[in-house]
Amino acid sequence: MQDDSDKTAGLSLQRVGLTYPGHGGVHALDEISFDVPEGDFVAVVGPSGCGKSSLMKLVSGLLPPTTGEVRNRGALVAGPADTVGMGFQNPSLLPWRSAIDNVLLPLEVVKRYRSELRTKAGKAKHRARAMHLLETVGLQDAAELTPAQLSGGMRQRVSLCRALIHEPSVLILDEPFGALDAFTREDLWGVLYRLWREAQFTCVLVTHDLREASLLASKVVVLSNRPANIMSIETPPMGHPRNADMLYQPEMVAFVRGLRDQIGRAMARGPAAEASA
Amino acid sequence: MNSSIWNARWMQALSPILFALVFLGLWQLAGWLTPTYQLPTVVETWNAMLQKPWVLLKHGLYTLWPTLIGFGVAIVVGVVMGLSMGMSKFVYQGAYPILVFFNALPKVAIAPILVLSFPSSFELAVWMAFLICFFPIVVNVATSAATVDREMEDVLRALGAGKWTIAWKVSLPQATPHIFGALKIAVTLAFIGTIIAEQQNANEGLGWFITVASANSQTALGFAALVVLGVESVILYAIFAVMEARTARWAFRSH
Repeated sequence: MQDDSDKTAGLSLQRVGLTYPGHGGVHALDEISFDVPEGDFVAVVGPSGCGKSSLMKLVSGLLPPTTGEVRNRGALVAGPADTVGMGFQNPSLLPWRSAIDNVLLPLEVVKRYRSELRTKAGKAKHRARAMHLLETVGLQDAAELTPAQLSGGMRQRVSLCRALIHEPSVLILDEPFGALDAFTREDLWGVLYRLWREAQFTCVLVTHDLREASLLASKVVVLSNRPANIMSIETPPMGHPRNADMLYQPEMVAFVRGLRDQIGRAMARGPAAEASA
Repeated sequence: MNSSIWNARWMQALSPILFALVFLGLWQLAGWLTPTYQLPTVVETWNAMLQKPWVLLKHGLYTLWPTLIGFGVAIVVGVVMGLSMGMSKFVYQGAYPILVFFNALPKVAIAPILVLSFPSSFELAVWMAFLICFFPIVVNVATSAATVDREMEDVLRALGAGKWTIAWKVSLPQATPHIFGALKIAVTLAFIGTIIAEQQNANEGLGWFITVASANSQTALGFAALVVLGVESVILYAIFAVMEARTARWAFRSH
């Protein structure tokens, strides 16, 4: 499947819909279509409970779509594939492993790495790679610490490294910084941005934070209330490379404001509004 | 009151010894006040142990082997079954009621019936030890294996990990401290099983020894056997308590 894939095609969603099975199955996603060019960064925003996380499960192959299809580099996503890396709001590190051993976990699972880990040289090589990743996120001195000894922000950095150690072509992040305080969050925006600029993976970021989406992504996909449809796809007014100061420039402020208005309208229209009426 | 002598460090270290001495003193006192066949004194019990040390040791070992074998089998069967229950809701739902039923059965009631199936006293003791400590092992492994963080599972599943890989990398290490905690309790239960079996049908082992001592009104000898039994049980308990603490170190670590 990898051989006939087109390494320039990126990620493509074509009329993807999802209804959870069972009685009165929840119609989560209606008909979502968008493309993420190879190596690009797309953010997905929308009202709470609109199905953003479900969408990520489809992209990662954890759930099959009810209708439509997802393609990664031209190949149909039919199930979990080790070309994807995932990160969530909860860093979910294994508490009995050190930071670096947590980062190495995916290599013990992914087939093409597993055999390499059996030799001493292979182990050393990948340990060095993990160490390099930890250095990139500023954790070179914390490699041997356990999760309990790390702060929330540090754990999330480890989680990012773990999502990238197997060199996935797509990184999927679901509210990765949602539980962090404002300063740590801004710090991690920089970390993620640097990682992405360095490794040039295709990145899909689901977030509630409109400033986060606007600062990091090349395109922002705005979803409606459930069942989710695409309301619009917006392009932030700044080109890459970016820095956090850009958030305070008038055109960026106006852009974030525009996103907020759209989502406000979506919520006023949706089932949440009906329930509270 | 913080500086009082009772809170001093050396006093706290000494307190178990102090309490033990007080306990032995009270026992000795009570022993003096009652006839020996009702309650022997500490000294009389000690003398009984010195009288027949090798006999007590022999029967102590007779009791130890079936306990350890039954316990070992319960570990293997319990961990495998607990993991499969933790991994599959179907197995969990199906097996749980049966386990509850067998656990609810008083094991003392089973022994006289099992005698018919296992006329060999050794086999009976192994079975009783197994039956009595199997349940707490299964339940502890099953519950801790069932509580795998959803997102952790997604991270691994997205990489193509199957159920067994997730069990091996996440569920099992996560359950390890709970498993040792369960074993710590189960090993003392296993002795109950063996003793019940030996009192039912045997002519060796501490259970049998105590029954005979009691029948002959040799209470001090019975107490001596109890002490041997207690020492065996505590040593095994301590081994698993140490293993639990070692494997659970990560659970207590904090910044």
